[in-house]
Formats: sequence, structure tokens, C-alpha cells
Amino acid sequence: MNSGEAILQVIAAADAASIAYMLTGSLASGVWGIPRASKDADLVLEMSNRRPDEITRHLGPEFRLNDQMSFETITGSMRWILQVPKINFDIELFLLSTDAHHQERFKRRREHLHPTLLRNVFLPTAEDVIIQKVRWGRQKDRSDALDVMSVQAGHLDWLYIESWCDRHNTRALLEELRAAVPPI
Amino acid sequence: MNPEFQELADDIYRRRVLRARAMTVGERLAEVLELQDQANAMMRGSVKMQFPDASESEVDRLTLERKHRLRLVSDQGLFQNAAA
Repeated sequence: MNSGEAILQVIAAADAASIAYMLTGSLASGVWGIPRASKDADLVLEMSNRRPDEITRHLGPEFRLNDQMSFETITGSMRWILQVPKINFDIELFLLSTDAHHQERFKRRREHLHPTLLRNVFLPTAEDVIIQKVRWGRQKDRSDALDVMSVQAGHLDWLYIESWCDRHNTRALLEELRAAVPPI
Repeated sequence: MNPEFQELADDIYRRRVLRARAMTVGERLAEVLELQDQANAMMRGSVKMQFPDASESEVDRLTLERKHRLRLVSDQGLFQNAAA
């Protein structure tokens, strides 16, 4: 098994449980920006149950759910870590939060065909990746946001991005990054 | 940064952006996953090199511990343990 196959199995488990999902994090920013290595994959799940058991009961013994739940301090999103020890790979399972942007980002997600996995996967839009990365604002998030802006130059809905960054009080950082986009 | 190096760094970045633009969404997704596998294999390999006598299951455990520590650093200030 590799990381792509592990993600596919989790997506298949979500499908089996009729749970809508979206791939986010560095995987999504790599898709809209410059692909880079990451230590894990992030999956947002729309589920009413507050534990991911509905997913994990469809997975084999090679998957191990870490019982320790954590939450993101900006929006309160709850997160579990699903480990795949044999391939040294983690999948972070986020429950879709009630945060207004998270709800909107999930609504706007789109299906894209993965050429080697031969199936469609749901991803957020490039605009929503930028908004989320600017909101988190860690060094690697800034770098990812800049990469998406650089690669997608001329194809971004800036009014949409600006309106959310205004609501999140992150407009200054957005403009700082935007000014750093090289003229390519 | 030395202006000469800055010019080189800018050129490398420009090439990376142009390469990414030339790829489809699906191709970039495939490459992210391939890079992930390479990075995970490298981390496991470095643990094996550091602990050459460790069994495969011990290497798995040590690698997971290393990943856990990296996650703690990455999570700092943004994620909180629910039990804390």
C-alpha cells in the first residue's frame, strides 16, 4: 500500500458510510500550487456523529485510529489522527465545523480525476485554499498560499478571497503575500 | 540574501511555477502523493540508519514517535489536545 491507496481506502470507507468528504491541507495546496512533500493527508468529513467510528469500521487492521482527539483553536474543528504504521503515513480526519468559511468551502468543493488512482476526489477551490492558509498563517501556510497565488495568477476570484480575509481580519497578511507574488 | 543568490533563487522559483502551471490538476495531485511516499520512506530509512539493530516493528514504532514529535511542533499554537 502507498499513501494514495491509503487515502483511497478511507474515501471508499466514507462513501460506504454515505459521508461527504474533501481533501484539504498541503495536499490541496499542492494541487493548486507547487506539489511538495508532506507528512500526512487531511480529510474533512461531514458527519453528525462526533466520532469517526462510522469511517473506521469500514477499514482494515492496517489502519489504527489514535483515540486522542484534538481541536483547532481558531474554529474549534475537531481532529483525529488515523495512522497507517506500515507505510509511516497519517491521515488527519477533521469533522466539518460550523465555522462559516468551512461551511462555504465545503459547499464549493469540486471533484477532480486522479489519473493513477482512476477515481474522482473532492478538493476545495484554489481560493478557499488561500483563505484557509492565510487564516492559519504559519510559515509553511504562508509559503503554500504564495505558491497557489503564483501558480494560479490571473485565475483567482480576488473579491471572494478578500471578502473572507476581511471577515477573518487576515487582510494585511493576504496583501503582504499578494505583493510578494513574482511577475511570472 | 546575496543578490547573486537571490537571482538564482528567483529563477528556480520561476521554473517551479511554470512547471506546475504546465501540469493538470490530476498530475499535481499524483505528484503530491508520490512525494509523500518518498518523504515517508526517507524518514523511515533515516531511523533505520540511526538504529541499524532495530527490528522492523521497532523501526515502525520509532518512526511513528518521530512523526508525533514533528506534529507537536507543527501543531503548536494552532491545535490543542482535547484532554488538556
